[in-house]
Amino acid sequence: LNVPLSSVLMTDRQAPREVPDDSSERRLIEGAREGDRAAFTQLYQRHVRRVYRFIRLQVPDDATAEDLTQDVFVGLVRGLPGIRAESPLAPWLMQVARNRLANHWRSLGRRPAEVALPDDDVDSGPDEALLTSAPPESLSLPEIDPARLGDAIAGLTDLQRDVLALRFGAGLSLAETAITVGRSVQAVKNVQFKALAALRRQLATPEARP
Amino acid sequence: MTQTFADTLAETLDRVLEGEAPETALGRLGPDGPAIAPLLALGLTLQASCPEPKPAFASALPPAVAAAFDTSAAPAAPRSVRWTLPLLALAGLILLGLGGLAVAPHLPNPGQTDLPIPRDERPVAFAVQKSTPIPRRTPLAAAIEAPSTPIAVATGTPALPPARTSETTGGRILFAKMAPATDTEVPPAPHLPGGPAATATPASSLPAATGPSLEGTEVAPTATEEHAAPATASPSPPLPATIRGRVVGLHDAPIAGIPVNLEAIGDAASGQISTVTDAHGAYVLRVAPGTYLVSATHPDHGTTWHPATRHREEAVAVTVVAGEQRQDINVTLQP
Repeated sequence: LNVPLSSVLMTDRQAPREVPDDSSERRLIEGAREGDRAAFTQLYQRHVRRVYRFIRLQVPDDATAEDLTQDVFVGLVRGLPGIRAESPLAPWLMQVARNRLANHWRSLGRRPAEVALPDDDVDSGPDEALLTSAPPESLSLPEIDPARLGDAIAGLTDLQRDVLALRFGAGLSLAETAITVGRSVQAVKNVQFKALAALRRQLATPEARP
Repeated sequence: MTQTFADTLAETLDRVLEGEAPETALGRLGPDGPAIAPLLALGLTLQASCPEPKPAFASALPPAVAAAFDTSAAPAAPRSVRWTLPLLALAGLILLGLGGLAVAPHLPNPGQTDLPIPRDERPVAFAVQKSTPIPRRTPLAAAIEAPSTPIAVATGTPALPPARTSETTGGRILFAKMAPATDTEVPPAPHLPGGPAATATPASSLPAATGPSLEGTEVAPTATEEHAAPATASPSPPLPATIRGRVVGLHDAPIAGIPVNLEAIGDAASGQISTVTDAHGAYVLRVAPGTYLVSATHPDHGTTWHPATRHREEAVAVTVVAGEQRQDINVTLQP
């Protein structure tokens, strides 16, 4: 059962791509620094969705995602004095979120399956042979079992997971994603391509039965 | 420079995410369109299938975040130069331990960083007097451990009588309360959990300070001639957090008398807080909200970080918010 691509885009088009107005964000950061709770609340409301979705794409349940999202904003409270108001806040928040996720996995004594990052994963161009099996028909969204999708995401490398969650969960631009993960925009494009191709391969594999 | 499929996919995704119809975006690609389409569809599936936060969660600050903000956000600084300069000087003296500022001698073990916080977590008055030399870290530790603890600062002399009240937030001494001090009820003597009863004394019972005056320091009108001004309790002070755990050996045997150290990391707090495990290998520390690395040091085996690593970079950081009580932050000593 496939869902027409356009219908999804019509319902979700605007949501993750909102771009905060820089000047108002700067005012909100400065206000929050001075103890203005209303300003801080506006910052929270402006960014909570992207932080939550970034995390939620990588953890299995809503409660964990909410806990970790709260942690990120507690981190924002503490980081306010050192944040440069003129810099975009989203990459900073996402870096905190990445750290919180890493701590979360460590505290559980496990992480999603770690896959060694090949040397050429980032800096070389993508392996275009990945596309050779692409069916030519797909202009519709495949319906995917969320559990399978979660498993498939867990099978990616850390960087691939982060890039996908930043791009499609948090809705960051390529440039913001590059800042967050500390790579070039070209490297992010390559990782995005390889991650989606790897995800597609995993989802195409018949589900393993215990 | 050759355009790769990665570039093409990225550009197509951007176009579609910005509102272009996917068929149109893919149509631009010519023969590459069918190859890019599945990956485009998968990316958009990810975007569409990612769960949204609950409306209540997304619209209002969660309690933990609100509490952290209320604890950490500094109120607006006093605007009057008349007050600011002398108070900055006073704060500097307190923080640097100059001029012999000291915690009242009734506080137990004044050189220890692990100052008493009452079990019921109500604010405690710490009186700071002049001319009683004690280690300078004590008032700072008090501030770090009890971020909302009012501190009574006695700056008076016979010629320049007391006093001034203040309080701490997030480990910083603030001077927001500039109203003339009045007598207020001070909580009962606190005690450390599992430890001896502490005797933090109401500031109002302290004698007037007798040290040299702080030149240029203006002092608020006094409450009484003979007593340092008591602390003014905050109406609803944020609570400190609690971190508890045990130090055990490899076979889970509790180890008593092991120093446990909390190192604050990040921006909110600083410094280190220490205690020693009791007979059951347990420790408890009241701390300001923040993120900490917990370590235990065995005299023979050296330092192990929570949960069980000899390498600081592998330690699991512990984050606590105001009022939170974390348990089982254990350290398994590594040989």
